[in-house]
Amino acid sequence: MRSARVVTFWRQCVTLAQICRESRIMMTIPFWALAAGLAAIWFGKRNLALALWGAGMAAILVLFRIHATSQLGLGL
Amino acid sequence: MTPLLSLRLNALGLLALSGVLAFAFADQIFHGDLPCPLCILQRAGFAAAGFGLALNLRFGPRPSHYAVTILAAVAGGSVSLRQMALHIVPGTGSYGDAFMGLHFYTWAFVLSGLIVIGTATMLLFDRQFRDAEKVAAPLSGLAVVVFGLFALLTLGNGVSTLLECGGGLCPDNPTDYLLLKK
Repeated sequence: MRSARVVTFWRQCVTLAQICRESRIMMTIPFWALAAGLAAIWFGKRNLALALWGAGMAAILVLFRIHATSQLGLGL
Repeated sequence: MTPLLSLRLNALGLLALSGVLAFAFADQIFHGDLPCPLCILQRAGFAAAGFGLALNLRFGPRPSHYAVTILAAVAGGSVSLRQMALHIVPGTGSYGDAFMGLHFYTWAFVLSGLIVIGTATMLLFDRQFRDAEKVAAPLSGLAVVVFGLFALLTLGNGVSTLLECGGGLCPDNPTDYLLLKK
């Protein structure tokens, strides 16, 4: 049951990565999310800052998924 | 460790991370070394790691803020480890210039490891969390300077990446700024 959920989650991540690849996800997204999060920290909005950090981290991981084999000219 | 000492160490850590980002930026600007996609993600990892320290400066030291730093350092370290593995195969060459015998992605892996070790060491000192709310206040003094520098470098990396890659993914081996091409 649990392993089925993990497989489903992984497939969803792969689908998200494919959608991002096709829609030309901006490589700058992690920096914008983190910069906006820093602004939230400045204004004392902790939860918003953490949410923006989470968005930045998600963008980093999706972009890593896309570029993991870029030097080898392979596609996963 | 008092909360105040913890804040000072966090400010020092954020300054060190700003130094790392500034060094990479200087290499890009003065030596013309354009960052590859994985290099950009490593920079983003450092920016995300500094985020936890910035949270500590504004809201006082909390274990969850240190977790932010550790998770980001692990993500950034994983990217650099992947890049090291890509170039470990004989004949695949390397990317960018070496600094003190190691390439930037190798340094990124070493530094990510040091961030994890340093942050875990900070977590050993429980006293800093007891009166953490008392030191939570709008930034002032040195903290403003360090926070501002770090925010500026994060934003600067966003602008630089936009110039290099435009509104999409970066080329695998960038040779020019896409948005500045005539």
